[in-house]
Amino acid sequence: MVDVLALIDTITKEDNEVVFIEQFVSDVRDFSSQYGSDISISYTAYNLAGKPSKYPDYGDYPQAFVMRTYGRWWKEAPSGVREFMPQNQGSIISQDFIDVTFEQAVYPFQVNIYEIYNPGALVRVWARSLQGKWALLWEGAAQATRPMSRIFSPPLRTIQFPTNLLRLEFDHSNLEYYTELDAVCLVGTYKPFPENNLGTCHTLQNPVVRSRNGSSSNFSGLVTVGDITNRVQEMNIHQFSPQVDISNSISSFLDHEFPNLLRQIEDMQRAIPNRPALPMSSSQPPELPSHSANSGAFSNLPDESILHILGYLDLKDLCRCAQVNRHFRSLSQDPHLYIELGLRKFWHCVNPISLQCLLPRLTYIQKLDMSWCGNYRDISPDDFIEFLEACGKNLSHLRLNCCKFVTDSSIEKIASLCPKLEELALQNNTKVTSRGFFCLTSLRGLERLDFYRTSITKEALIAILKSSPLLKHLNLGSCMHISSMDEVVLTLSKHNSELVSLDLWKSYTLTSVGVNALGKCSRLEEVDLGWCLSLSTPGLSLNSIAYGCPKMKKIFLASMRCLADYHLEPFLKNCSLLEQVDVLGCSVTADIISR
Amino acid sequence: MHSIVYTGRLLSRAIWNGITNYTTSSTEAQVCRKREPHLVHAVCGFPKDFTHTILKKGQFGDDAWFHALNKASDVIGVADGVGGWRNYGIDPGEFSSFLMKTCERLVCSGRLKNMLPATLLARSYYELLESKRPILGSSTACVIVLNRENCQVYTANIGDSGFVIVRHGEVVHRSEEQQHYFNTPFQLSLPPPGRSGLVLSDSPDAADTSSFPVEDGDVILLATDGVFDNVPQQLLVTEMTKLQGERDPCKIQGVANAIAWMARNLAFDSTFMSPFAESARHNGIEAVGGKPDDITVLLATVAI
Repeated sequence: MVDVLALIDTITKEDNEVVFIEQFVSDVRDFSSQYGSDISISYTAYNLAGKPSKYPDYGDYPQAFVMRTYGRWWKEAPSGVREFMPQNQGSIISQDFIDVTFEQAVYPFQVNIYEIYNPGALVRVWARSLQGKWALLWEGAAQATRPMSRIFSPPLRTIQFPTNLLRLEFDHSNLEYYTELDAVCLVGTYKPFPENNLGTCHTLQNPVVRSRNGSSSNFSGLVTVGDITNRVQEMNIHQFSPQVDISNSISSFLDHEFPNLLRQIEDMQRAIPNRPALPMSSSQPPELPSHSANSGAFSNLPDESILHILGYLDLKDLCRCAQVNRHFRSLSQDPHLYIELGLRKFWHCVNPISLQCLLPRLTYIQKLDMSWCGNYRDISPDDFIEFLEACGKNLSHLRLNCCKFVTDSSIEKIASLCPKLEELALQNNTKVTSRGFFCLTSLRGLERLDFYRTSITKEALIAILKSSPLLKHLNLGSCMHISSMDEVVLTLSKHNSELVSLDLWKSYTLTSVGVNALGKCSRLEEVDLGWCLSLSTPGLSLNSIAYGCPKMKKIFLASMRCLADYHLEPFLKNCSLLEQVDVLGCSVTADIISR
Repeated sequence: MHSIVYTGRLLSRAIWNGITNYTTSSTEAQVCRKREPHLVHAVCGFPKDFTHTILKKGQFGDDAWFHALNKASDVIGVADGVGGWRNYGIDPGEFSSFLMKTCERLVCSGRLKNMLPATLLARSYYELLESKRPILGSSTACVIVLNRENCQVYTANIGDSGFVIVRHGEVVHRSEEQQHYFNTPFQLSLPPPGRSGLVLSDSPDAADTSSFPVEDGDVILLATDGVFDNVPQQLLVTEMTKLQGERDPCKIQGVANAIAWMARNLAFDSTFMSPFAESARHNGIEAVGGKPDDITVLLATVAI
């Protein structure tokens, strides 16, 4: 009999045992920017896949994932862009993201981020369910940490679905230099861990989960991941004062509520099919006095004042206001509040339904930012075209960075529907071919074009440049399909004399001929010639920039191996406004830098 | 009575467990046997100067080596950093080891299927240019890729490192030395700024490439000039023949050790007529004895 009892005991124990699966990234699905170029493996996003290769070493390694920017330099440069509806950004902002997949879908228990240079930029971790729903696992402000490599394991929320796709968001605006990541490890279980058993999970965790890296110089002999989490918390690297916790939980609550709200609003609209169109201007208050009385003291205010106040609210709060009463509802949906619309922060809940729901308010919209939205087929190209047809005729600014739904036909539509377009950002839209880009030649008023990591060709680009005499800002970073950057720059110098900023990061085909031509763009304030490898011996071509562009504020010359002091002397003489010079990997003495 | 039933049940359970364990282990073994073609390899080597070198993984002095595997191919390679850069304050081992490590990363990333070794070397060389910290120097390199689908080996060689493939005691394929002139091999290089005109630099396209169908049991020796300059080919072939068809990594390691040790001893034998001394005599230089150098031996057998 004793034997039987012992047997049952072990069986129940087996049932209770939680199996933790520890996996490293199997593939990188999407990202917003990377330091390296697509034809290389140095400093690129794909380095995040697999086991850590450099941890626990601390430093700047080509084997790591590095993003394109850091600090405030890029925001404050002449080419810096302003967010639309900046109030949407909230207290925790982010500039970059990366999507990583894992072999097996698990209920996430822990996410370990191996940071090997300037840690602390991670601000959010998202998980995507197999059905396509995003849930926030963790959110926290960017941290100022000690310069040492570390495994960061943020405390995760429990979610009710298994995931194999994570999105990490980064805020590197407070960093001194680029942050670098080595690997990401997802620890999870096949079965959801029941709430009441979570305690046992924690106790089981130490024997079951074992970190695979034996080396632990920085953490003085720590091996188990659980220990590291505890230790990190002890070190107060991320300080969770109760106040922060509350605001986090509120904002997360809102994050989850927001799509629901949108849906509710939509339902309400369906419920009143014959409702008259929304008021076009606040001068005709549509509500009866009896209704406005519901707004209390607000009813004494003229609608213009209320609208002005509402103008400071972000999208989430506007949706909540719509639920107060009819008066507020009509005011909070006034098209004047939606002249600018920034949806990037809400990428996780932008879908055809929410777009349809927003549409009635977008009659006057001029500036639209849909960056990061609609990936993984959440928005189809047709959905976007439909949306654009309804609200695109006044658009002057359109940002579609990292939007997978942008295709040739969408560009064609943009070109035909938005004649007033001044700004178009298409970062990372690799699907657009030269046929799509050629359509842009019909736009005459373009002032800012962002083609970072697109497959634009020389012919299409030259045609666009010739038809856009007002062009001020142009980003051609990491455009690998431009067969001769020299010809592009020659066209620029002839046809685009207004040019203020030019980004030629990683333009392997640029030679000193092109640089010489740049000297003719006399209004240039910012030029990025980083990693133009055919330019490693610039000769005297840089002089033409120094003498031709007296307003120069920022110049990037990274990796010009032969750059010497005498190349920079003319800049010191002629460009009194110069603020930032990147001379990484150049043979320049400290003497000239100090000047 | 009850207890007998229970013990019987326990007993049968134990036996059943034993059987299932046995069957699973045997299927695993079958999976192992069914594995695709691959290389069983071993490495041995010596830095030229023990006293002043720090031992690093994948490096022997200025020599570097790597082995990498992905679904499509099994890759081995060696590189020999050119020692002359030490006079300019540049560590010659850094260039060669970066070159090899990048090759390894390129193969392991698996994003490039069926890459030819010349492309691999070229890609790796261009990664040097992409590094933020300029890695200067120059290096010879030799890379062998076993294509796991068609059982061909593809090779690329720049400079005086090289390989020999032996089948049943016969040399069936070997590399050809690439030299500009005596003791000056072809080399990939990144010279310090301002010196580019003065330095020999060969483009990765200059690599000597070949392809060769291998059979099960073939023995491949991939080594730097520290081996080929000091050990006569006949001695190498004799040692390698011992490994025909061998799949035990320990035995391969033993022979690799033997070849490396032989090279090391002959390099410091001042009376021995080494291949290097013979080559010198052909060029009108009166020389005798071995050539002290870093030695890297990468020995592999083909298992199909």
